[in-house]
Amino acid sequence: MEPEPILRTERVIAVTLGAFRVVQHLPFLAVSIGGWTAYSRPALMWCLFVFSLAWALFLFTFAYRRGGLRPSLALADVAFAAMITVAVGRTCLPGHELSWDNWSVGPVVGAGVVAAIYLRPRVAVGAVFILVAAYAVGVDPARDVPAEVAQTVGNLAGLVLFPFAAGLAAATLRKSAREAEAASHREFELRLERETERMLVDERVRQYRLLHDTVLSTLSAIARGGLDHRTPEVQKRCADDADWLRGLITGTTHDMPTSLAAALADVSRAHADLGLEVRQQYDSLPDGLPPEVVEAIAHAVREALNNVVKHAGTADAWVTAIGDEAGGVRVTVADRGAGFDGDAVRCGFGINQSIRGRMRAAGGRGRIHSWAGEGTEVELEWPMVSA
Amino acid sequence: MIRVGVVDDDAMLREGMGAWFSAIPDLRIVASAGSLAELLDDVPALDVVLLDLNLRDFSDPAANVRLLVSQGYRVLIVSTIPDAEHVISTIAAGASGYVTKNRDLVALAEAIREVASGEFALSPELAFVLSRDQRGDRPALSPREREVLGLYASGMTLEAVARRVGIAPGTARTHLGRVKQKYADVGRPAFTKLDLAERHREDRLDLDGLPRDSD
Repeated sequence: MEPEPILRTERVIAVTLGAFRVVQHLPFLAVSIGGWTAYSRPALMWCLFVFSLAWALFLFTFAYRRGGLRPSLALADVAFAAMITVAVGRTCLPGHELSWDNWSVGPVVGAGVVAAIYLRPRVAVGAVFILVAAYAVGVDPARDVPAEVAQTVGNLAGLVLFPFAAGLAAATLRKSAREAEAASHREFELRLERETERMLVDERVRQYRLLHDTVLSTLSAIARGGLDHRTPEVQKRCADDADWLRGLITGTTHDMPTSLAAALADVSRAHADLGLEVRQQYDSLPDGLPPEVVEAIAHAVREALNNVVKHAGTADAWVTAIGDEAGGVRVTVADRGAGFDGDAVRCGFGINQSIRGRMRAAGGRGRIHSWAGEGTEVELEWPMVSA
Repeated sequence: MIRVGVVDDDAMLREGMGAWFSAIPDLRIVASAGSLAELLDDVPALDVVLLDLNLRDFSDPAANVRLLVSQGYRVLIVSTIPDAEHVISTIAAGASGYVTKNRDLVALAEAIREVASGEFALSPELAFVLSRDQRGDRPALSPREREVLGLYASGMTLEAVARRVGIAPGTARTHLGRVKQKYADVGRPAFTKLDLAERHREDRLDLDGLPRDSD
């Protein structure tokens, strides 16, 4: 399964940030080879360093796997970096606060970058401010030396500028990923539309052929005069042909089908031409569902099947629709394909908009259950049953 | 080697199946017929009979199954249309499973192996028909068994079913196994009164069939 553009971009961002953060920890190892003369409490310094590195590894592995970071984790990163920089600054002996011995500058800049990328702009500004303040508090003992004040201001400027630049870069990357995803979505819709059109043409050809085999040959036989149209056999045949014509007329209107089964059958058939075998199972479907409900369900099912074709890596899907005694209906679209982590940050707009949004707007509910390696189930119900 | 007999009025389909099966080493079609009478003419030794649900001679599907079962054959029903009423009647008559003809070969072969080993082949399509089974004399299923059956019928993997119900995959498998056992026992002697009483109680508890989940 090829990851979508958005997921791919989020992973690139996570890997870049992770590598950046690990590299930022390296100066301390170089410093520690030179001995422990710079710190009042070397053991505490080691503990802080190991914690900081371990946290970074956890955070960015997590970000890679989930395709992003929740605000709570980004805030935790900011909080840890702030505490570490105060502790490290204060543990440095006088004169060492602004040298390489204060290794917390790297993680503080990194946390600022994380805030700029994963938090809303206003929150990110606040987070960077906290980091700046924490760094200043940590190196506070150095304030009396004028030459060092200049360097402190320089470091502080870096604390603000790096996150700002990173935030801009990430926004640009994400924008192009969203555009790429929208384009691939449009392309897919277009393909589906073309298949549907082609099928309509096929259907028309089939109908003409049937027309030839039935109505036309019956009429010709009567016209030739060799056939008595009053015999029961001929009457039966005329009645059958009339039925068939009637079906043809009602079947070719381009209105949205009002019956749910017909709508679902149409959706499923369109996907069959994309190589998906859709097994349809219907029972006790209610009559007289409002057209907008039928449309919302058909739309959601189509989107769910699109997702099976695009992401599940399987050629089989099941569409099950069951009515209840109160006139409601429950529809599921299930596959046994790749699935995805149910908690994953899924930014693809298919699922959210077309399934949850459309069902909610029609007074129902759409839910998606999935787990990596265990397939996906999209569950639609109307009306919404209060749980 | 599993010996398979095919009864289908569609000669083209029978030929196609022969070609299909030649790719599977442990299955071999040893008898092929357009009707039941034609198959039973020379009493072949078979492990499984693949029986088309609706034969063109309009014979009663359930009667066909009863005849085969009475002669000691294990029957797997195949059909193009999932005709729920007749599928259920053949299961009640002692058929060991049901698959639709559009199933892929792997699934069909797996179902044949299950039936050959004396098990009940529960495909999702059969699970769906059974989960909507409203007959008074159907085997009694516990609420949990019905829930697992209903979810499995919607095409989900067993792992996903287990996760939805909140049980271990092994437990879900056991529930499904019990359902299969209960339906496999159908061909055997009639139910006791106790079974019937149990079923009436269950009908009252669970009127609308497929349970809604409560998360």
